Amino acid sequence: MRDYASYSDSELIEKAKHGEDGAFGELVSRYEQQVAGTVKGMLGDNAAAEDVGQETFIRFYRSLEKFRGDSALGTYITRIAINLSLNEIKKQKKVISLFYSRDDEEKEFDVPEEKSHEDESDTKEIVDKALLALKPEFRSVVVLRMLHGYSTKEAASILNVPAGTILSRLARAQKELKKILEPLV
Amino acid sequence: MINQEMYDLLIRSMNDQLTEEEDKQLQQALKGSSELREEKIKLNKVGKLISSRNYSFSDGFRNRVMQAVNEEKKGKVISIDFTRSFTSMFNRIAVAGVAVIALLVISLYISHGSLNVNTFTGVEPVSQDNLISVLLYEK
Repeated sequence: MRDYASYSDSELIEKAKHGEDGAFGELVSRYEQQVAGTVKGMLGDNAAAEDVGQETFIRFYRSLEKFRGDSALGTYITRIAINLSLNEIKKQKKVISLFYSRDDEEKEFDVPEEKSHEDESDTKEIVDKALLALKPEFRSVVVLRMLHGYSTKEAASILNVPAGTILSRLARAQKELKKILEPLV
Repeated sequence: MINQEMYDLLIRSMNDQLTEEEDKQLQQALKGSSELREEKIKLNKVGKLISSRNYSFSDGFRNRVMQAVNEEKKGKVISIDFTRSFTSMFNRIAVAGVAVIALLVISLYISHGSLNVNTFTGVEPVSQDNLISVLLYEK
């Protein structure tokens, strides 16, 4: 079996375009964690996020021919993942609005005050819930800026909004997160 | 009580967007307010909590993606094959149809000696007298 680990992203893309499955598989391995961070940060650690993650790579595979390398591959894949996640949130919202009233939907997130913070999985769970408590447009900024460490400019380009919007959303999200995560900090 | 303006500056400083003047203001405010310093520590901790959250897909994710990609490929091949065979079949039918029409036209020309509209419709030319007699005919 051929070892693709030593190839650059652009070399792997060329090989994948010529039908080398192993090359595409290597790209999946390289960006799997980044996509997981994006979709699970946006949708939570659940089966829907796994499906969206898979769909992200399938969309990427379909658009291999169109990829010209104008942006870094990670940015390109993250853009697909963010867009699919936002679509999934819209879909879920539609379903929720069919079955629940608006009051249920906007219920405030509740952090257990006397929770032991030593348990790592508890912390993870609380961080996940805090992220999910944010509105999707704020959540996407937090995922890109705070989780992946993209610059304001890069985040603006991925979300297709002005840099000023990213900064104001981030400021609001940080205030919200501090409020929600107060018991942990 | 934290000065809201300074708190906003503090948040903005987390995203590296302060001017030199604003940074000086914030540093001064931080020196003079223990609450603001505490807020800064908390905001840094929040940032660390978020950035240290690692996500990963369940085991076998890569294999599932590759399986889906292979199915996608197969689907593509089947659809390309169908389009190709449909196009080539359509071409054959079209060529055969054109040949049949050409043969019919030639046989009409041979049997009638011309290719006017009446030859194609099979209607004999009607004279004006015949037409009047048909119109005046009463049972």
